[in-house]
Amino acid sequence: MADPSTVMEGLATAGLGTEPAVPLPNTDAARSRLRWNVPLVVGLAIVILSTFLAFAAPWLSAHDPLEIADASLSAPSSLYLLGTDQLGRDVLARILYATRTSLSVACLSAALAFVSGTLIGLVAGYASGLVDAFMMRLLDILQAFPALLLAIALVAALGPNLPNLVLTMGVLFTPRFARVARASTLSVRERDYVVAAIGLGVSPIRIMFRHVLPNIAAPLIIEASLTATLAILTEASLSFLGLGVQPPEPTWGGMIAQSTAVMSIAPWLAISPGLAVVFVVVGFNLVGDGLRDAMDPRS
Amino acid sequence: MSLLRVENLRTYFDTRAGVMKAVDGVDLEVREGRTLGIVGESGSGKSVTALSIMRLIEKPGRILPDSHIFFEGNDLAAIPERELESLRGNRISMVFQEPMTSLNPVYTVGDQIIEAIRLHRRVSVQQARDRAVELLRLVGIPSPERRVDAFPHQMSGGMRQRVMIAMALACEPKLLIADEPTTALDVTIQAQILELLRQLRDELSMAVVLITHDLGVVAEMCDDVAVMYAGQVVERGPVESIFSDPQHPYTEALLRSIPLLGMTKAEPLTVIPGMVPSALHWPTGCRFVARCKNALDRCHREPPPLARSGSGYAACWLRESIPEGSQHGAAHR
Amino acid sequence: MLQYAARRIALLIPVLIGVSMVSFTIIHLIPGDIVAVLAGPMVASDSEIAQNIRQSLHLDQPLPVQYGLWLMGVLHGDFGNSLTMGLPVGPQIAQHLPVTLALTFMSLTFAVAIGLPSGVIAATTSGRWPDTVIRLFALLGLSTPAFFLGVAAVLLLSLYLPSFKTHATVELHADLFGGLKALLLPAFVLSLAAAATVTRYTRASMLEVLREPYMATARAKGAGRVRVLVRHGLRNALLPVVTAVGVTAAQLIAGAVVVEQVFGLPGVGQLMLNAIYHRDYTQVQATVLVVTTLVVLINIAVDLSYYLLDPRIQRHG
Repeated sequence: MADPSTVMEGLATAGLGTEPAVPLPNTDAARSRLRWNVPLVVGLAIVILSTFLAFAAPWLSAHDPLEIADASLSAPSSLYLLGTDQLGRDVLARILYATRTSLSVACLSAALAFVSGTLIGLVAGYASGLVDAFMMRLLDILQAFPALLLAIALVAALGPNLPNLVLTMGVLFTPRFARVARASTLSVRERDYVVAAIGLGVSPIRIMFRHVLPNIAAPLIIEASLTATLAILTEASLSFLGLGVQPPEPTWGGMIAQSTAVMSIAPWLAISPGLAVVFVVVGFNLVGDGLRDAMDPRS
Repeated sequence: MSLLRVENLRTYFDTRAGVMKAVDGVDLEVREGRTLGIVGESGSGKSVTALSIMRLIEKPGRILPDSHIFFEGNDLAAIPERELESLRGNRISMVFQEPMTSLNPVYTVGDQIIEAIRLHRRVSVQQARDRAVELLRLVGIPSPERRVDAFPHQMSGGMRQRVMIAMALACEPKLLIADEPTTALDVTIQAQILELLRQLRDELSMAVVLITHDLGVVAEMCDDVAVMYAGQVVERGPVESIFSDPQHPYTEALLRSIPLLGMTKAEPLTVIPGMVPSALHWPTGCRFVARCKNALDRCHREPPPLARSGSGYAACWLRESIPEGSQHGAAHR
Repeated sequence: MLQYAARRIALLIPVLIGVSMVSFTIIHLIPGDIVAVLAGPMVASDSEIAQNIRQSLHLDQPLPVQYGLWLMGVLHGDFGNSLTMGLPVGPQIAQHLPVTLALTFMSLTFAVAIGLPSGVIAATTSGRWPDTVIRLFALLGLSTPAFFLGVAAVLLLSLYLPSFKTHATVELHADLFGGLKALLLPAFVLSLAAAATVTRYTRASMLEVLREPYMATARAKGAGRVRVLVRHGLRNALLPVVTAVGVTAAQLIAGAVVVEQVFGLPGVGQLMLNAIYHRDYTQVQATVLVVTTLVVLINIAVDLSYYLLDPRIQRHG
């Protein structure tokens, strides 16, 4: 069974144009809007669960992530649920603590990019003209670089630690938000209530924050969840290359990199942190997709 | 002799809210070389009827199994898709409502006409191209040798509709279905396109099914007319008799709602009160009952069959020629 | 066409200048005394090595002059000398680039070969199970880091197919065919995320196109389903997909850096990471500049192919 909107699509496919061939009852449209957004719900569940695990890591893990036990490379057992690594450290505890690192880097850098990108986009879109052109060219330059490549070089130069990771990624992801904010600002700017506010002599800063910002929030929030996925993947790649938060602090990428040396005898070392990355990234991706579906009137 | 005979056509759409009975028991007939107008408000099912005849209904739509579309001895509702493809664009063609979007933007109009020809005729590209130029000239496009290489976006809406017509006529079809071919065009262009259609119809002696909501167009173009309401044909017959002596109250109301030549000020235009019922829940009796001034008790209970009335057919209990109780529910087979 | 191309290329110049500035800046982001970091803590600041570093980077000059001198060198093909080996870094990059480019283009090919049909199938079965399955795989593809896929592939192959050589030596100049064969697995691993991106773009774009009236026109002409889908549908749906391919190319080149590390391939990624481990920042700087310039050029090529594919742009220029 399809819903009536797909029927209309079907009719349009058949060449009927935009007019619905048969009037559709309004109640049904409302019902389908209230229907459960499965991606969003599942995504939020994953994100909330992993955030909880990250916060609760000290209470949840039976072992200290840095504690070196006698049993190195022991297979998963009831004592060490996911086994131990070369140094005999508990893999589960390390994964939980790595979640903390990963999520902090992801959230902080996405937040940094969100704030700076939104400010730039608002100003560029609102000011337009030369200011806009200049700012957009700067973003062009930043976006010309393959993000991961520049991240590698910048982190290597600045020194691999948490603040530098956040700073680098925050800068690299800024253009994404700036573009979204600018495009939305340009369209909101033309709306009557903004034009009216300008006409009343309201100051530009007040207009931007009181009238424009609330109306461009939706696309920015979608962008934020998708940027978080990129940040997690980038952090994982950097730490895999040894450019993430430095040992002995556990990171997912670092754990996978270490595991390659003993892969044939202890495959669990590579698999569990990898699945952790995939799990969390799937969560954020689902949130982004779900939000987009919910806000796109066509779907 | 009839070229196309549609019997009990029913096209339903399966939706989450239920089954939308967009076309619900339509009977039509088109004679060779003649023009049938199908009129009705939007939502009456006239476009779905047209697409059903071409069997261009996509999921979740479906044509019910006991529908029949007889065309040149074939039942289009039943033949395999492959055979149907050899008829489409060849024996039956269609012109759509939206000339702006009905042509593929990435191919030249020539390429699109050539495709239509070569799908059905074994000719070389060069021969097809010559034919395309000839067709463009036929539909009144200036300097067709040059325009054949133009892209759709380089043409106006009226020109594009001419191209659509040229494409539809590429294989000299016996039947042309035109679904509101002028609705999207300027008034002056509308008249030109209609004139072109009329002229080509006479030249090529093909039959035309013209779908429109404009009774003026029907009066000008058609030999016969079928009036559709709520997924059914409520009245059909020769144009003159329907205009002079409408049998169904809906037809009557439609005629009163438009200005026609020769009308005096004494006859004010009226709007039909009320709304078309929902295709998800048609009323049990006559579907026009809620908007009919003279509705009887019976009209609420039993659907009227399409029966001989005046010089055509009408589905209305108010016509006394139909004895009570006979042909019970015939229109609702 | 030429005019259009010339205009696009002219627009590039400021971007490339900006890219060179950012690349130049990398070295100056190093906190503290650059010379001390580059030469290592054991080297005295007035030693010959330290002097050499100062001289080769023109550190005694004001910053804009340093940039100018460096840029002049770059434009003449001189990317400076390696701080560790003293050799020019340009030839080093030239030597490592073919592997990375081959890897990138192979995976781009895989990504399109997988993504395009998947996207079309998903769009035409929208809402039914093939669509659901494809979207699920696309989600996983987007969510899995390439290096983990690589490690997992190596692991699985070593467990279940021990005869498969996951770490073959790649010497494209000596054995082109053998080298490309050895790149198949890494390219496949690298391509999956990009394939997911292409799938998503194709699906979305195809869904739009399927609603277009010209699709019904084509059916009404008597064209068969597959013909309508490919000739009329895909041809139009391709336009946004081309943009996706451009975006993907940049991701792939960056991803190649990481995947090279997993499979031990001698590409620019390996070159750059080795340089990082040896604090050879002129090498890092030059590599970033060269690779980014390539990405910019790839995007121009994509832009121009868009122009060729869409007749509507040609009119508006």
